[in-house]
Amino acid sequence: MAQYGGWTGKVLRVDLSSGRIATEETVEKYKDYIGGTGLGYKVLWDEVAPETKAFDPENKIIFATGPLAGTSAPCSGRTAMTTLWPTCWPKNLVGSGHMGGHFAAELKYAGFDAIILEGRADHPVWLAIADGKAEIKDARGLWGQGIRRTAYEISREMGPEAVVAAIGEAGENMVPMSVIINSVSHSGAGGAVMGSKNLKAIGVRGSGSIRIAGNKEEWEKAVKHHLSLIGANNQGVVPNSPQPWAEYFSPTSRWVALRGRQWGAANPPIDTGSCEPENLNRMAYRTNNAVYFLGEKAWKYTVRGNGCTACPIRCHAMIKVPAVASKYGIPEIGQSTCVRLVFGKRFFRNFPDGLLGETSIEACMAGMHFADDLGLWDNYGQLQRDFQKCYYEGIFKSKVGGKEYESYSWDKLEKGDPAFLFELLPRIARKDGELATALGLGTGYMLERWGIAEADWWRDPTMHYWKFGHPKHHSNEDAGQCGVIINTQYNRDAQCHSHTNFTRNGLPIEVQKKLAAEIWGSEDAVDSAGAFTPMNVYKAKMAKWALLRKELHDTISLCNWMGPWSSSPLKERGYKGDDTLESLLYSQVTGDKKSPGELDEVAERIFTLHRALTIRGMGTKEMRTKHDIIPDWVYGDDKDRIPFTKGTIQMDKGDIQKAMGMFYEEVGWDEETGAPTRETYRRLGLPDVAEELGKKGLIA
Amino acid sequence: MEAVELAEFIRESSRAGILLSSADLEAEIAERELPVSDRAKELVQAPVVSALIQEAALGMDDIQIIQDDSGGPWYYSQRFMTASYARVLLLKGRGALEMMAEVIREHSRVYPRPVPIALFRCAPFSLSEDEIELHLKEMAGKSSYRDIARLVTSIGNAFAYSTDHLEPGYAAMLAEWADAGQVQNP
Repeated sequence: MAQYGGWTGKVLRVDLSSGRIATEETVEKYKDYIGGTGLGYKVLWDEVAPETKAFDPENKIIFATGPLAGTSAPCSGRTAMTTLWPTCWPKNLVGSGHMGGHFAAELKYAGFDAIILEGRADHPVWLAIADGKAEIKDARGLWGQGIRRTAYEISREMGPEAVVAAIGEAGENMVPMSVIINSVSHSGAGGAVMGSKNLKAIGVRGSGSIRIAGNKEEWEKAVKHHLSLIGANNQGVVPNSPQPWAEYFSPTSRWVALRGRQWGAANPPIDTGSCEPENLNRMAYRTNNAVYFLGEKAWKYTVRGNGCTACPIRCHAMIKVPAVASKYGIPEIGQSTCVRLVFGKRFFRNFPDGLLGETSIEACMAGMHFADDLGLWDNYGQLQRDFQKCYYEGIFKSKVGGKEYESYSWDKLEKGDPAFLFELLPRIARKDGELATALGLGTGYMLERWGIAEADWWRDPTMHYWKFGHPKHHSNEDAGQCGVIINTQYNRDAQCHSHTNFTRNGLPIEVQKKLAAEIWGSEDAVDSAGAFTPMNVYKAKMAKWALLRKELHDTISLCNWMGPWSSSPLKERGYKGDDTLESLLYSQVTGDKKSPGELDEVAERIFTLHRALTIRGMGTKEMRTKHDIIPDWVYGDDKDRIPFTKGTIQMDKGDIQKAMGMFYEEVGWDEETGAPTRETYRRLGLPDVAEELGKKGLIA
Repeated sequence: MEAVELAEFIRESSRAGILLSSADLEAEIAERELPVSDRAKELVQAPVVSALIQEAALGMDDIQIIQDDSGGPWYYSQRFMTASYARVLLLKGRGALEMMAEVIREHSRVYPRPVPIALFRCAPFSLSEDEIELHLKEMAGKSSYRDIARLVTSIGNAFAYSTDHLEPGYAAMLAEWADAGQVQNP
């Protein structure tokens, strides 16, 4: 171990049933899987039987970082939580949640790369980890408390610099739609698995550091190089309005900084100013996700951007809305990003002053307050879509009805009154009544409970529903066949941004095509949005690349909401990013020199192990027909336009079948079944996996 | 040295989003009372003020000249302003209708995408909501702008595009994707 940097070298194993705490050697045991999801999949493969359910004590949840966490590598504040996924329907298959914040770095500074949690405590406990030591502590006094109070109490005990990852009431009550949160607003799903283990929180405090194996100057050069390639959130590399320094702009970019646009709730207000790409000291001003998601009115409420360790982007917008304190008695300051910023708003169809008015912002504040304190998950907005469909189509009334149905103030919902959230959200977290309990199960189990066919959700394209209880996440609307392939691969929403961080970078299509040719071999790998062309092998290569980069990022602790850096804001580079960046950073940090190709192979090993876990969990090798399901709405168009005409995102069935075949070929999987071949397992160093699956008749 | 000072003035202006004409530079020279160097006089056979401008333009790698429709030179520093931004500033000289139409056409052709008309409220266009509406109405009545079309998304925002480069159905889809779709699929 001594020769490697990056890793702390220790994995903490905590058996909550027996109270036994042990450590293992990271590098000796897990180096072939690096860390993060790779380490998590390996533990599940070796230690958790396929018939296990999410809430069984035999299930494990692995909090794992990678070698970049805790270093100055930009966008490296990621922790992966891998477990059997409680909302995966009809069976709890492998899945992973991903949280940013400061947990990953603090865990590393405390001396651990990962925590393997197993068993079930006989009473509520929390885990204290400080500088190489871990202790299971009584959490009976914290049980029933919100996440904020829990973090506060634990920080009082461990010190103000402690980072606390905790569950709220939703997790405690084993509501599958629940999250784990650290650092106020940084969430990852899987809260109910912690709750099933009677584990309320993990507090970490470390005063150590991470050794960089490489030369100091080279490392600093690498970090600066990485910083220079970063755009705004989701790697928008152009601003959203014309600016003197910008050759291009895109109104949909999250790069919203401009002279005259101010963080209005800062005291004094701060002008975001001109944020030229070369000015690395102003990167944090580029993004304001409150404005992106809540509209221009959010400028006046913005205090600042917040974010993860070592990340210059600050995508968690902090907003101050004094009115909500007096109106609703909730904190006037909230912070979050993306779908969690709009968690509350999306339960409503409209508001008295419109979708971007003051009331909608109040709904967002109330939603953030509850979601981040009760620890509720939104399943990438599916919770809110399910809710609206069930209400407006009379499903709640028919399935719940009577006194319980009438106990909700539906008039408040219809009028767009945020006070409605005060009735609904705590009830979901507490499994209070049939309606709230069913919503908290996640889509698949809710439909099953109420005897509704999954096909009813598939038929409605506005539901975005994909399969196994989860929605699409950047599919054909973003990247045609490449997006479809990606969305077939996981047991939850795909959580892959490698492709969309390229297709939405804001550059003109000709520039994108030029960059695509360099990375995937042909300009034909990418199309303009809504002008999709038939499948070709370069799109399959892009899909493989996107998936492997996602796994690699989740493994080494890089943010896939920002990377890969396949494009950049740099005109002098022709907007080219650097596809070798992961290799550069990993090699510098660890001293384990790996070329981009070698690192991609590790990512492929990890991705293939995920596939093997899914095959073993489902008990079938027929992945193409039973797992890689594509919903009907992918083949529909509201104006009956045919595929490959401009203006439709509709895909062609035959073409998608061809796409899946090409993808399987790219990754070395059997074209008929979609299962990895024995040769592929062997090539990737997984012969034991092949052997086990072979014995069960689960290999192609 | 004097030309260096003038070049610095061009850079500062570019950084602030201002394109400078010869008249602007002459005014600055007069205000600062910049003497003209012997080198400037030798460099070009021109009146002394023009010579100083020429020295600044020709002697510095980053100073660029762009010509307007009548051939008049305008100056900017490519270190702080891109050619595309300078072009937009020049378009303003052709009047708001022409500027809007050219921007709409370029976006429809290059990215491709329709333009949210609210964009024209931003600098460097800096038009009011009323002016934008007025100009679009005026365009609708002129044959030279017959390719400029307008649409409204499901959330009520207006976009404009050029039918020379985008089919109406495609433009509608792209506008919807930009205005409502991307935030719904973040």
